[in-house]
Amino acid sequence: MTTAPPTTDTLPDWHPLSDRLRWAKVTALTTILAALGVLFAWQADRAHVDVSEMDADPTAHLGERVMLGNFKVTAIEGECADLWSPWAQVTACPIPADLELGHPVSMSAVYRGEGRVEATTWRIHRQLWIKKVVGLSALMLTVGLVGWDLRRRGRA
Amino acid sequence: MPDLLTHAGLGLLLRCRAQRSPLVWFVVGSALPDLASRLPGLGMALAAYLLDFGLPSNALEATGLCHMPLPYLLLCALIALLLRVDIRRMAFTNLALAGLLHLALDASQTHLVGGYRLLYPFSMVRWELGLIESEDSLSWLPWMALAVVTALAVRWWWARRVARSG
Repeated sequence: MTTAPPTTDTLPDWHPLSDRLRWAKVTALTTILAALGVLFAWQADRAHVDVSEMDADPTAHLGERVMLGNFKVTAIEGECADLWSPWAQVTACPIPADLELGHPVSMSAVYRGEGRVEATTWRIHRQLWIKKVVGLSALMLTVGLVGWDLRRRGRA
Repeated sequence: MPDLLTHAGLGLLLRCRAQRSPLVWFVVGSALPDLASRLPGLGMALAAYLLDFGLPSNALEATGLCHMPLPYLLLCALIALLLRVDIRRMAFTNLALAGLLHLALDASQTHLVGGYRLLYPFSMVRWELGLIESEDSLSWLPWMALAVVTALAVRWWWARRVARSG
């Protein structure tokens, strides 16, 4: 593998990444990111009404379209399935023939009151577990790569 | 999202002719938007489970912030500022370019629920091109792995050849 030559990259004071007021910049960036995170959470919460909130006033929301992402199938009874996510539980009908217990699913549905939805489109994420394993491998790879490069630079 | 190894593999293929450090930071940058937006959420979920407290439904939403271009660039600047001055510019450039490539690749997908808020904080509109399914990348993964191994082998062979002739 090619080795990087020793670099003498020094930045002028006016450069945003220079050492001048470095910790003030770090603090400012951290504060901005935290503030954006809080603002985003608030805006996302306002823009999204989930099934549990609809259940508080079912008549006002009857017939509304809902998009449910990353739910897990916890029970199947006849034409209906109970679905769970950390924030909501719903009963969805009708179900596709190949739906099985434990499947992670997303769906487009119509709210029918009291935690029930009429599913119009299902998507079963059969390969989600592979993506999780692959994601974990990539995490270890990236942490390892950074550690390796910084250690080698330290030695240079 | 396409899986993380596809992102990292694509990053490696695109920058395999670069020197070691830019290559490393580019590969890391190609996985960083997902890592930065998922790991805090996983940490919070784990803490909520271990300490037995309820997690507000929007808490995980907030951690998705770094999967949007502008906040992601701010994160890259923050990471770069924590590094030594001699690698700061190189690290920022590679993290930023690779992360933006990651976001572009993600935006090519189609989701039943979702899309990406690429213009946040200026707009909350979700947007995606809808060209590929979110799990399609898993079928490319063996080919991507083969291409990466080939690229690394050629790179190693070339470095040896240069070292011998020099």
